[in-house]
Amino acid sequence: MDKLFELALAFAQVGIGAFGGGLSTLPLIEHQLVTQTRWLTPEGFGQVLALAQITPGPIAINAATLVGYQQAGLAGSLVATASLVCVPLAFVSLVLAALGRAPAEKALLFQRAIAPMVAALLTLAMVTPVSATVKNGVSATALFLVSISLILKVKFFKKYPFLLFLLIGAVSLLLP
Amino acid sequence: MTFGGGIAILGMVRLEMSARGIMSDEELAEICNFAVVMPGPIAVSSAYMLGRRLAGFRGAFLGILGAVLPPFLIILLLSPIALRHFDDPGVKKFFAGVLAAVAAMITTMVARDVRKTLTAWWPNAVSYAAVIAMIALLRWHPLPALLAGFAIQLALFAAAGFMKDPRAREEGD
Repeated sequence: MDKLFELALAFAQVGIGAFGGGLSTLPLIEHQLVTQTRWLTPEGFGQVLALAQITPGPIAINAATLVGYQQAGLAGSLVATASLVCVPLAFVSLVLAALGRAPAEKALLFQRAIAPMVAALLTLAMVTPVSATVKNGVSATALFLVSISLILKVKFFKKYPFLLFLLIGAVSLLLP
Repeated sequence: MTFGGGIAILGMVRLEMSARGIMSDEELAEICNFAVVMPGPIAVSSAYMLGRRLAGFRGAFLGILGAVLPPFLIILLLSPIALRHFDDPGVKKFFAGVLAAVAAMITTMVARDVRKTLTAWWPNAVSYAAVIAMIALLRWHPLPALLAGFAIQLALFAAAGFMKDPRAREEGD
């Protein structure tokens, strides 16, 4: 199968299943890129996730651009990102065309209907980063625990998590 | 420039729009609620709908470009460098630290959001556990698992009578 077509197909599936936004899309991205296509190793997935969290934009777009580039250069980047963005947008357009305008009542019901699914995805999103961190050794695990207390105790880091990510990354460089 | 991703951006959009007095708060809230339940990154779907509402399809197109282009260009520039240096010991160590902090953030989100979802209405635990089991234990593709979980949830809603009057339920969020 043509690489560009494979990229389009993989990221169309990520896009169409990306409900709830943000980190709850991780299990889907991981399934497509690690389990299904093996474009990334589990360690590579952790690095892409880390890079995505310290650069602007949704993780799904970051992953599409990077893995697209890794697989097929600039064309791969463009195709993967466009597929990720356009397939769900086509879906939104169809729903809007069918319903007229954004329907508040139905959106509320639907939001409640998908809440447990989003919670399940978020729970699964925790598995790989946490187990990879534990596997990375004692100092990584210590940084994990320190980060949890910083997020809970320091409002500043809760508000700007990417600054915490950069800080902990820098501290990690200094540790043995 | 959105680092938080997801819902965080909606707050920023809301500030921008009301500061410029372009749109009523109700209409904005309606669009945002809808963007959250649609598939795809929230930043993109809300930019699409707001752009379209304000300036037709030209607005929608420019809205999408505005949401996608900055992250796309930054990663595109970083990709060749990142892919070449992901295996360097120093880079590895830095990203291991970042990943530890990201894992910590996800853990705190799970502790908060999952508890909120499950305590809002206890039958939510059924579809929650079912989706986790289908993906983690049965190794299903997440898409069919989500559809199955959604079907279970609708059946629970129907049994409880929420389908006719969604507002009958107490505010879960």
